[in-house]
Amino acid sequence: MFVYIIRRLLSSIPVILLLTFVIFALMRAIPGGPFDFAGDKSLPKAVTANLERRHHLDWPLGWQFSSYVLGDDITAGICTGLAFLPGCDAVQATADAGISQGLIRGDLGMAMKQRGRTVNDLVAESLPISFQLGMIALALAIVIGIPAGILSALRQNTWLDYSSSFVAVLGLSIPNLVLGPLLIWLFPLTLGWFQVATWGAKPPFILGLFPTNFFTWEFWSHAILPAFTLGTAFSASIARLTRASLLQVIREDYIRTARSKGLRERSVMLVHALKNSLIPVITVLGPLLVILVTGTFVVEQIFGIPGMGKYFVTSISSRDYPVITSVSLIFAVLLVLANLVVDIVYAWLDPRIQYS
Amino acid sequence: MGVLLEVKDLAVRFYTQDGVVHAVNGISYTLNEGETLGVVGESGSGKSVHALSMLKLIPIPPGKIESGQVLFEGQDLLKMSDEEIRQIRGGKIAMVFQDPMTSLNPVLTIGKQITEALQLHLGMNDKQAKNRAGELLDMVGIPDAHRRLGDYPHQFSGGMRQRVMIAMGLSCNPQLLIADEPTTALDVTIQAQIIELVKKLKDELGMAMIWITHDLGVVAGLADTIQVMYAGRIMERGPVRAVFKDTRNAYTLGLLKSLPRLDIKKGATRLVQISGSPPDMHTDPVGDPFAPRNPYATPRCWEETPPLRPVEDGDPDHYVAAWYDLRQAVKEKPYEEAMQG
Repeated sequence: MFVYIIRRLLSSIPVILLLTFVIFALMRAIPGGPFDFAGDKSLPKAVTANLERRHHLDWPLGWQFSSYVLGDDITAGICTGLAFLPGCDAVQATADAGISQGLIRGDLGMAMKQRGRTVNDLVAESLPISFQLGMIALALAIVIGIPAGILSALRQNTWLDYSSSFVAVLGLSIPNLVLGPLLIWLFPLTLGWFQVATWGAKPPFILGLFPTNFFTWEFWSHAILPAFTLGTAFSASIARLTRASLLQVIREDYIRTARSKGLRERSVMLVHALKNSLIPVITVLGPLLVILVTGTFVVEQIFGIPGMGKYFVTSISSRDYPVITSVSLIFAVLLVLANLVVDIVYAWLDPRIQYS
Repeated sequence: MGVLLEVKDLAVRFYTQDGVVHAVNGISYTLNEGETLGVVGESGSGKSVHALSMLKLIPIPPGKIESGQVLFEGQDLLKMSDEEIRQIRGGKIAMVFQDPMTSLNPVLTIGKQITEALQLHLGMNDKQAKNRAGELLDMVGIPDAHRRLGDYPHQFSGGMRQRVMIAMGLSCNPQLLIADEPTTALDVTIQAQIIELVKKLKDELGMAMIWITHDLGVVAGLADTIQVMYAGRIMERGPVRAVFKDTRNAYTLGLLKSLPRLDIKKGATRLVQISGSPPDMHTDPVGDPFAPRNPYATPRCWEETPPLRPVEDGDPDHYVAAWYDLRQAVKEKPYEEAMQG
């Protein structure tokens, strides 16, 4: 198992690198650059050129990527050794600016539009908050979705099933954009419960991710509404999936066998059916987790939460190349890790699946 | 020997979107203690459904038990509450199913699947149940039985899985074992092994057995009594020898004639198939359900459903549902000829 995990992680490195390069190249293919404007004013040509030179934007694309991945010093080193390569003169001219240590040393680069701040700084303060919000939303989606799905499968075609399906479809069809403000109007503004906006935890975080005040009302009064907003749609789809999967498993021969042994209906369901029916549900949970942790732009905007979601949107329009490349990279790494966890859970759920 | 099971006028229907399926149409029979009954019929003859209905294992809805009684030790299984029938299932009446590949739960160990019945019906604790499960696997001929309790179904071959199913069925010393085509999914060599095993175990344990199959050869070697079903009705029933040698129903005869035989004369002709197609179960057939395919059918067969009654001058336990006299009809026109005409 250990060997399998290591192999999976190693084999994902090329994929992540390729993805990083595609985003790196695509972003630069979009017309315009990060230093065309400062606010509403356009910058003098000379200033733009200077800034671009400082961020190596005058280098050929390949060398820029090399700087992002390997760092300025190694890139310059390559150019010293292999000076005949095209573009090496440009690299050697400005490599001493030394703004990038490179991915291999854990440096995600310098943010272009936020002076003096590195991407690492931005990620370190926003990722934990998005992570906390996403995990709570996921937990909520599971805690509501799976039991609701089981219940409507067990009571198939009764009023309980119909009303659960109704709520699920409702949850799927109401966009966060509507649900968020509605909840804010109903709870904090009308009833005076919970907080209207902002996040309840601040850095430093435990292990860089977990809030120190997790067990306080301060934290939860901020967390409940956005997590609920984010989690509803997913709990609805988890409920639908659990129901469908369980209904399919109930028709299997081994369920009939279990009944023929005289087992109670409850143990037929919980011991014999549930474990089998969770396999497809687990499959969607991996990608779901990543979407919840990173793709929370709308909810973060509505509730004024300083999470990572906004960088996915703003850094594209502002052409902040290192930021968008890095948040995409983080997204990819999380996806790889989540799928790895899903595969490990598979092996635990289904003994027929073995990794060696 | 006393009567163990008495089925009276059992009728089962399925109310599907495509209409009502008349799966079992009022069958009655008795089974004695220690007796082996072979139930034979083609797909859709109601042979499996009737067995599942007795333990209320058919899906309800769409299934519905329309009428009848199933008296087991004098008690009507069909009138029992869910709790009461659960005591019977796996305890006094056990079932072994057709496909051992899909009838065992893939995510639970064999040990777990055997011990749960033991703990439920015999009140054993973990350790007792585990020991007993090991003994059972040993009894059905699984090598290294105790160690294999921790294995999962996919680690066993098809034949071994069916042995596990049988061990599971026998675990609580049932008085009746219902085997629903237990050898159909296995290859011929393994079939023979399983049949030998069941024969041996039945002699040792002395339970009664209902063996559902479409294979007449299996029944011939295993059963005391044979019961031929068609379109949810019993067409003929009697001691194996009587039914095979003194056949009284045209459907039974058709089944026997369609079998290859080792003892047939050299240069014999090709096998004779039953013409026509199986009945449409969506309509409640008037008359003898086999009449449309029966070369010996009389006008009465089309109008009135024949009851199951004792045969004239034959074995006293031999029953047939037919208006025609098959012996007379075959004498006038042999079966092969009748099928061609």
